[in-house]
Formats: sequence, C-alpha cells, structure tokens
Amino acid sequence: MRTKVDSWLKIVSLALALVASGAATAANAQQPQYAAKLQIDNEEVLAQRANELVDVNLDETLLRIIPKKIKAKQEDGTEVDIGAIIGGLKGVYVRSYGFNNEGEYSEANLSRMRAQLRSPGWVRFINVVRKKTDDNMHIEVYMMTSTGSIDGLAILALEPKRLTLVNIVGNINLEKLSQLEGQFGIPELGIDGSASQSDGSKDSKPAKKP
Amino acid sequence: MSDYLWDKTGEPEEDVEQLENLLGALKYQTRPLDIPLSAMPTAKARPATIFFSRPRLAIAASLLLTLLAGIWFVTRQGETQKNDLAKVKQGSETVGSKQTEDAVVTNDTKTGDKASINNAPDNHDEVKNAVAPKPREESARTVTASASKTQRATRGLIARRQKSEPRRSVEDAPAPREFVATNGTMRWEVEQPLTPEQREATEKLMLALQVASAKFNYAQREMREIGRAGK
Repeated sequence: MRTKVDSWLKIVSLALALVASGAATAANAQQPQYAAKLQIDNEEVLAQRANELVDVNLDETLLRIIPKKIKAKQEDGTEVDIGAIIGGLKGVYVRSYGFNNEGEYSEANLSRMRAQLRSPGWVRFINVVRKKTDDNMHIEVYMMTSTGSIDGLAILALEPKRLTLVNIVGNINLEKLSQLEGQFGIPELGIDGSASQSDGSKDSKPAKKP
Repeated sequence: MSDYLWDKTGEPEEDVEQLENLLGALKYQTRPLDIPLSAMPTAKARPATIFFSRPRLAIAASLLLTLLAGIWFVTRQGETQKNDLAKVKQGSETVGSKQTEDAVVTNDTKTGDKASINNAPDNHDEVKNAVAPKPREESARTVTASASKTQRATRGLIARRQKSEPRRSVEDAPAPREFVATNGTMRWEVEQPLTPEQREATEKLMLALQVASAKFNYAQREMREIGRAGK
C-alpha cells in the first residue's frame, strides 16, 4: 500500500515539474504570434547599401501605449480618426530602403518575404507593374483574411532606387488607411512615384501577372 | 484439604507444587514488552521525517521553479518594453530625416517640379539646404495638440537645444525631430498630454501608416487608370 502511494506521489510530482517547465516555456514566448506577421527584420545587407532607411517597428506593446483618441486634422478641417485605424492593429512594420544607384537590390532579397506570402491565408489582390523609360514601378498588395475580416496587409513596392516593404498585422480599415495620404500637411509623397503619374498615365501598361 | 489452591495458605500438595513450578515461567511479569527489532518502525516512516519526503520536495521544487520562471518572465517583459522604447527613440532620427525629405518632395510637387525622392541623391545639397531649419520654417513648425503641457514641453525642448548646441553649419544641420510640415500644419487632437514615449511611438505610427497609405493609394490609382484605359 505504501509503495503504491509513493509511486502516485512520484507521478504527481513529475506532472507538476512538467507543468512548471511548460509554464517557463510559455513565459519565454514574448509576444503572441500572429499568422499575418512577416519576418522582414534581417535585411542587413540592404540596410548597409541604402543611403536612406526608414525602419518602423511597432509591435503590439508599443501600439498599446499610443492613445486611442487621436484625430488628425487636415487644413480643410477634414478629420481622420487615427484611433479607429489603430484599434484593431497588432503590429506595424515598415522598411523603406533608398539607394543612390539602380540595381542595388534584387529579387533574391525578397525571396524570404515572398516565400512567406505564398503561405496559406495570403492573397495578392493588387499587382501593378508599370515600366517606363524613366520610371519603373512594381507594387504588390497582399491581404490575409479570415471570417470576413482582414488579419493583415503586406505591400511590396519595387522602384529602381527604392524598395519598400510594409507589413500591417491586425484588422485594418483600408478606406481609412487610404485617407491618410495627404494628411499632416504632406499632401503627396513623392516616394510612390505618383508625382509623375499624372503626366505619364498614357504610358501605363496593364497590370501583368508575374 | 489445604486451602493452597484458594488463597495460597497451608501446605501445598506435591503435584500442585510441581505444576506451579512448571507453569510459573508463563505467569504475568511486570516488565516492558520485548518487541523484536525487525518489528520496530523504520526511520523512513517516522512521522517527523514524512514532511520532508522526496515527493514533497519535488512538488516544492516545481512550485519554486514556476515562481522563478514567473519572476524571470516579468523582468524580461519589462526589459523588452524598455528596449522597444529605446528603439523608438533611436529610430526617430531616421524618421525625422525621412519626413523632412518628404516635405521637400511635397514642395517640389506643389510648385510643379515633379522631382521624386529617388532623385534626391543627385541634388543632395539642395535637399540639405531645404532641410536645414531656417527661422521662417522654425516658426512654421506648428505641432499642435490640445494639451498645452505638451506644447510647452516641445517649445522648451527646442529652446534648450538651441541654447545648448552651438550653431551648426547647413551641412551639419540635424534633422528636425518634430513632425515637420513646411507647407501646411500637422494637427493632432488628443485628450491627454502625450509622454515622450507616446509621442515617439505616435510619430512612427503616423509615418508608417502614411507610407503604407501612399503605396496602397498608388496601386489603386494605377489600377483605376488601367481600367479606364481598357474601356
């Protein structure tokens, strides 16, 4: 009888030890993992070549410290509720590399990100390729959806002297996102090539599938 | 007949005496019970030591381990947050310079000169000249928030910088840290004063969303253009 009790106690203590180690492992996981989170952190080679770098890393912890009641006001009085945009976000990551010369990056630098975007859940819903003599542009917009809501957004913008990677994790309101360009007194960002778009629209080619 | 068998008085009979001697060894004796050593309880099972049995020690160790893991996790979380905030501060330099360049591009766009930021390296000096904080531009920095405390803090910071740092040349001019708008005003409306960390994080968020918005809108515009051209 005594030996039986001893063996049961041993089993219970072993189970407790396992639970403890499991808790330690769980504690090791810093942030909850989201399927829409892409690994775009290790582009050191590009960062070294770039003469201009925009590197934004806002994970859930940092997004939480941003007050939710922020409104951006345009000069004409139009308001955009920033809180409504960031309410469902779990992370915002942007890398934008500006280079002095063309050809500083290649498709190989994007292979890792593309491989992640081929995983289930991601859908490419916009693919624009524009090739002109002085202004090439290739933009791909990917979206991850589940049960009718957006779980994440990824944008790859390839220009001759600029590469931009955007990963937004969480539920994002695309309509409100599109309103943000032109806010804050900076009506149009030249980095998207839109400055030359108006006069070069005739040369626009239909979107290609790669 | 003797009363020996009744109350041990009188002469005992011979056969009774013989029986008494024979069975006397088995009579009651007032001495402690002699229990064999093998039947004694062992030290392992003694109540005093049961408390420190191995299973209990194992349970205690597990609980201690869980507690230590919890403490470590909480400490690490705190460090991670500090690191993140430090990154935000560090990254603001890049953000500031980027925003300024954007502002320059915007100016060009407004005046009809459609130079994109990709061409910036070619006329780097011009960009730097434009970026360098001039008195008029300084006054144009209107970073307004509903909380006057933040405004005062910002003004104080700028004033302190101007006092403490020697006047630099145009080449060495630092990139403004505030959200600069040279051809307009940026207005945030918040219900509470922002801490420096909140401000940094918010500025980074705005920049990130703006870049994302610009790319997204461009792709959409192109799609519409292509649609129109198709028709």
